[in-house]
Amino acid sequence: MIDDRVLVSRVLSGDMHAFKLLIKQHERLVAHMIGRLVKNKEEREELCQDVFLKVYEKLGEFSFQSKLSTWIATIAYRHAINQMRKKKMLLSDISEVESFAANFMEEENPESLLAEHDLNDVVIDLLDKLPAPYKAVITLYHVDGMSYPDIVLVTGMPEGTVKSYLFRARNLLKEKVMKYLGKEELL
Amino acid sequence: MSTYEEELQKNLEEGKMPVGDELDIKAYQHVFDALEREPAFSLPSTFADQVVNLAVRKHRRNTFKEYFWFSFGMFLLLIAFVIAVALTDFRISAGIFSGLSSYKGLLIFGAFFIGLLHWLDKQLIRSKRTIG
Repeated sequence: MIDDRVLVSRVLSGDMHAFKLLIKQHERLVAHMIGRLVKNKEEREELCQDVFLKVYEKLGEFSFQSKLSTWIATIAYRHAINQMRKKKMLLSDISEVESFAANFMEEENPESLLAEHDLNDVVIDLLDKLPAPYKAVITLYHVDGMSYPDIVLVTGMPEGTVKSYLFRARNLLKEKVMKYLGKEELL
Repeated sequence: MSTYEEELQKNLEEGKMPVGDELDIKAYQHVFDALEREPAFSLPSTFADQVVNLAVRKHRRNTFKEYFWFSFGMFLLLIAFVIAVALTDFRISAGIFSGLSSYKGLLIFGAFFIGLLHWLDKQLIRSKRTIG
């Protein structure tokens, strides 16, 4: 694994193999973020391309104040959020949490869902119904293994909000799992 | 969210034996297991090559645009110069240049200073911004 500084300076000097390496190293991170936030499957790959083109364009401005991966995740997060704003998709902030949580828990509870999928898929389907900031925080923390300070940098949310979204989202999912499965199946 | 729920989550994350209702613990375990899984969406193996090709093409397009507008600007400047010469009936004379010969030192300094600025621009600024 090449050091971030070496990789960035090689890309800036015009080495396209280095840029390819940079993409290979970070494509999963970007795919996680875009894949979780953007529902339209056709758009996802194009958005990932846009993210890396933006990385290429702005790399000269990267000042190593954070890890390269955190900076790339920030671009991916903002790009996905902007895309969702354009399409007027569900975006929520902390003030809407209570009303969202109530709706989330009251939603229909189709038994067929469990018959067709395993429990992990059901949890992921439920996660998809959460507002974008919840999904972003959950993905960065659980899938990409980022720390709270890194998630703060990526999302621009205060650390308290990040923690609140994370705990709240997991709590909502757990309540829903309990509702789906019932006591007998869980024990 | 209650402190009880928070404690349960923290204990599960840290791999400690959580203390609480067995139903809650099992439900949380299911949630944590599912959340650790990678999202189903993945990029094709050719993705990096595609992006590199796009970046190269975009860079070429931008370079072409820069040259085009530079040439267009020079062309307009030339036309403006010709029009100005025609309108003012300007005649080239060496008189003005012969007067400059007494400022030889200043001219040499000016040429050197402009050269230095170009060199600094290339070393410090362009090298950081030029890509592709």
